Amino acid sequence: MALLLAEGLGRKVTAERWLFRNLNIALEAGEQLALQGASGVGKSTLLNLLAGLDQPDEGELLLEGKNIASFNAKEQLVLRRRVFGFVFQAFHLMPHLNAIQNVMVPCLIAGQSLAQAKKRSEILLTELGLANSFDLFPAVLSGGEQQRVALARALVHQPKIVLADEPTGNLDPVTAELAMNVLCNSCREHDVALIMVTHSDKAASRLDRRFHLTS
Amino acid sequence: MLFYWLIVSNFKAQLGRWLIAGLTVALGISLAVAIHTVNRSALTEFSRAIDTINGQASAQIIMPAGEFSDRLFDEIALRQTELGIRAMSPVLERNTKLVRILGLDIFRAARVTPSLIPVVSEENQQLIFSDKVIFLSAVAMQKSHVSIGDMLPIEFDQKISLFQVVGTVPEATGQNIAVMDLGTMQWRLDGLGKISRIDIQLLDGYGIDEVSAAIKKLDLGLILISAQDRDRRASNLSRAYRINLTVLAFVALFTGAFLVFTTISFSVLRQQSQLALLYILGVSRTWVFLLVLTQASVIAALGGLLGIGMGLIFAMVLLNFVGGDLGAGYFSSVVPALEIDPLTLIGFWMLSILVGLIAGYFPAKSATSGRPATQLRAGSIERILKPVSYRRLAGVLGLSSLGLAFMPAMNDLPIAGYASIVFLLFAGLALTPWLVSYCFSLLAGIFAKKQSISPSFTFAIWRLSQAPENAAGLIAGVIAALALTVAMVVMVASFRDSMTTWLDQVLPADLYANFSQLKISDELSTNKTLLSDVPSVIQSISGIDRFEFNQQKKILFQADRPEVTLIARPIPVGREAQVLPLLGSVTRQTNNLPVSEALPEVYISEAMQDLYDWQPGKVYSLPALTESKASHNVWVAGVFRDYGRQHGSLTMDLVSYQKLSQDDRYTGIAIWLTKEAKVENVVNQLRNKIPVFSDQRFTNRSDLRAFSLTIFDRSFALTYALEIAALVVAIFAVATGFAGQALLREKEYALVFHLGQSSLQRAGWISAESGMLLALAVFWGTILGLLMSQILIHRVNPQSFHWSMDTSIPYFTLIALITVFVLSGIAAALWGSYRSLNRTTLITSLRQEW
Repeated sequence: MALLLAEGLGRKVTAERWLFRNLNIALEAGEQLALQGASGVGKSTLLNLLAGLDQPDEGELLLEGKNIASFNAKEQLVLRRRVFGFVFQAFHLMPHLNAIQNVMVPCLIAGQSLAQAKKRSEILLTELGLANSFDLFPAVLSGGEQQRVALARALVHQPKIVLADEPTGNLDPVTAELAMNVLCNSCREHDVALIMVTHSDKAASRLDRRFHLTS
Repeated sequence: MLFYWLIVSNFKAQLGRWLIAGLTVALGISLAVAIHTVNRSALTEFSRAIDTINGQASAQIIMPAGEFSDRLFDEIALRQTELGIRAMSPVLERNTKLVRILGLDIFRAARVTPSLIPVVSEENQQLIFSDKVIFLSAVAMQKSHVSIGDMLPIEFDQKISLFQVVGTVPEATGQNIAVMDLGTMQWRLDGLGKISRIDIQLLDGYGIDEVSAAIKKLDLGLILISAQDRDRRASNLSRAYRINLTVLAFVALFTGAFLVFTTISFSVLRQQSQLALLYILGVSRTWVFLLVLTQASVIAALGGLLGIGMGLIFAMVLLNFVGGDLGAGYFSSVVPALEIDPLTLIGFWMLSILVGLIAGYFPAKSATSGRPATQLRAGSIERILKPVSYRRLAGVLGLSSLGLAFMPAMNDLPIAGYASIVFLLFAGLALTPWLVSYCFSLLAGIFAKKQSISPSFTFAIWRLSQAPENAAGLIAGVIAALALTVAMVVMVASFRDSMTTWLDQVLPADLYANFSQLKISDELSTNKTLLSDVPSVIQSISGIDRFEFNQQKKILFQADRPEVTLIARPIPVGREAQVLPLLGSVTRQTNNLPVSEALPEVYISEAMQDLYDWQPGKVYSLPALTESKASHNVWVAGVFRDYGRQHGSLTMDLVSYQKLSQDDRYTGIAIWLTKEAKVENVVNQLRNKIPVFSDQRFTNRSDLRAFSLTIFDRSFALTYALEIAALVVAIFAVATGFAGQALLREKEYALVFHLGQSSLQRAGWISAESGMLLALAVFWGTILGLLMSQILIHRVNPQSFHWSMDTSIPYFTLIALITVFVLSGIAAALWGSYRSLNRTTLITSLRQEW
């Protein structure tokens, strides 16, 4: 059974106009999928639908066989706390929190103790080469370092799927290459599926499959 | 055009918050305008009333201690030219329930005060000098419901006399006065041989000071007062009170300024990248600076205009429902019309713009001080909140405050005291970022070791300990409002407690009566049989343990100051501290002085020390109490507390007073009852057995005490209202502050929402953060408020009202105030945050990157 299955997914822009229709995607556990398409085709809307943050106008979205659309608010919370991890183009680190505190946030939201959250965050940051940057604030981290902290935050609560939005869009080619390595390798090491929105064919080619969204 | 677009679009984007900021400025300005306008109206009306009553006299000759013999008029008249007086007119005044009556020598008055000359109706020409006629102003006719030809009953001295209204006083517009012949008045209204004043016109070439000195030289106990003196005296009557109220209005305005500051700061932070982009596109830093400053001043100017309108309406309401004295009882007989002073209103408007400029200056500076390239980067908002430390500034301000607190009054006003409070407040505010950082770092350190704390609490602590400048900006307005409110609450409570204690001391007897009618006192003094009878009759009444007569008299010490009250009552030697609320000990005259050479001893109120510089252990000259002596030397034996008379009072033993003044009349009595006595029975017996007491009103101690406290509460009612206004503004500040925060931190909230934070957790986070922040604000505000209360109690009040008080802290009120404040602050923070954040915002705010 697919980890995440979209069947006949459709979303309207207005009452008459469809953004996309009859969209079928199957994502297996640990699989890495690139989501590509021109601007305005609905990549962001699709990511919102996949994360359970938005409702489709037709079709079904099944997570391990369960329809996400039927989830109540509490179950949707669990989705975000345990199933998904997010990586954003602008990293979205909290500027007043240091690196380790930023990584600890999802664990604390999920109800873990400070000690547990800290231990897990330290391991991940060390794995990602930031062992000496625990106490540093985002303002003094480089773009690559910030993205690694954001990745650690996406993985710290051991999600099943990481949703990454143009994770290398704000980085130079060299740093972007390094970040892609870290992202793909970390997801594979932790057996986490990855759906990545990217405009880069080179980045997309590193993943298991590509999915082109057209209008 | 771009300038205009940006301002308008920014106002539209945050309309609600700009409206609230503008409204708070409006509130502060409206209170200041209302208080100023009410006072101006009252003083103008008061001055107009006095001018009417005084006619167009250039000056008046009076006796400081009250009415005097018309024989003195003749003595002055003999030397009229050499004194520099062109014309003079004797006047006797009587205040009745119905109307204020002036007795005039019509021929003399025609030369000195023509505006007081009555006009007799044609049919009554022959009656003009009749001893049964009276002339009424239009207002007096209206109030008395009479017209020309009607009989008017005048009640004075418990005796009703009938007068026929035969004419009007046409120039006494708007005033409730009546005029009659001086001789008639002396005869029929108990003033034989007496006059109240002499109105004069000076000879050309003579000045007030010159004539005043010449009159003083006559040594008749008479003094000259000018029209300016009278106006100043009226103004001095309520000056301290209205200045205190105006300061309170500025407190509300000041708090409003913080709200404008907060709104503009957040607005600038939100526009940071936009402003940086504009800079990169070619606009100058000055342009950006002016843009921010203009936004602030436009909103403050609009608020100011609204405030002026609201203030005038508020003033009208106050004049009609509270009175021109704002409930303090200074001008209770005057019903003023609204007196608008356009220049002052323009001044208030400029003040509102100034508030906007000050509030906008720092955000404007911040908007132009960063590096545009950095500010364009995502997440730069927090970076521009650089750590700032104002500890050194706080120290300087604190020390300045301390220095100012010990400075004396300036021009009888506690200017330095108020400045000390302002400096202390700014010192406290300057220290706030450090305090927030220190306290929450400490807390973060403590909780870092705890494992079982909620994530909401952890996030709140992290935020507060690691971004203190932002937090300090949020609570600055709250600290200011709360500190000033706590200071006022403590001051008023201390004043009320001290006053209660004082009332218990000054009202030791069970029953009191004031003989406002001269008849009783005259009968007591002139009718020797009665005089000798009354005490024994009183003493014979069952239920009366003992009694004391007393005498109160108003004395003018200085022409431009309100009169001082002289109280004569039995003060047994050695028991002074028991009968007077003394401050300190009694200072005796030199021990070896024979009794015959010893000066009469007086005890002075604190106001006498402040206003006239009288000090215990020294000899001073008391203005004439009799016509035979120009002044009397007295020994100041001590100082007592007097909350009843802020313009000064003296107390001396009744026997000493009677020796000095040869006045053995009484104006009051205090009666002590036996334990089993019933007040009603005693009063009935007093009225039945002593004819002059038949209609006398007696008041028992508890009623008098309750009445005094009611007056106290009424005079502070506006203070309470202003305190509430300042607190409401502060709560608004919290709501708008957190709403602004929510907008600023939209991505932060959106991120944790994506990471699985529930709305309940977010509510917990905001509650914990706002609760802890408000708790610190409340703690710091209370500390500052308590310190300020000490300046108010020990410096401002003694310098304003010339009385001291003991500090008493109203714990219950303060705890209730703080609790309500924190809870409503948290509610306001939640409301403000949730108003700015909804599910769609949380989902879409990170979307621009997707």
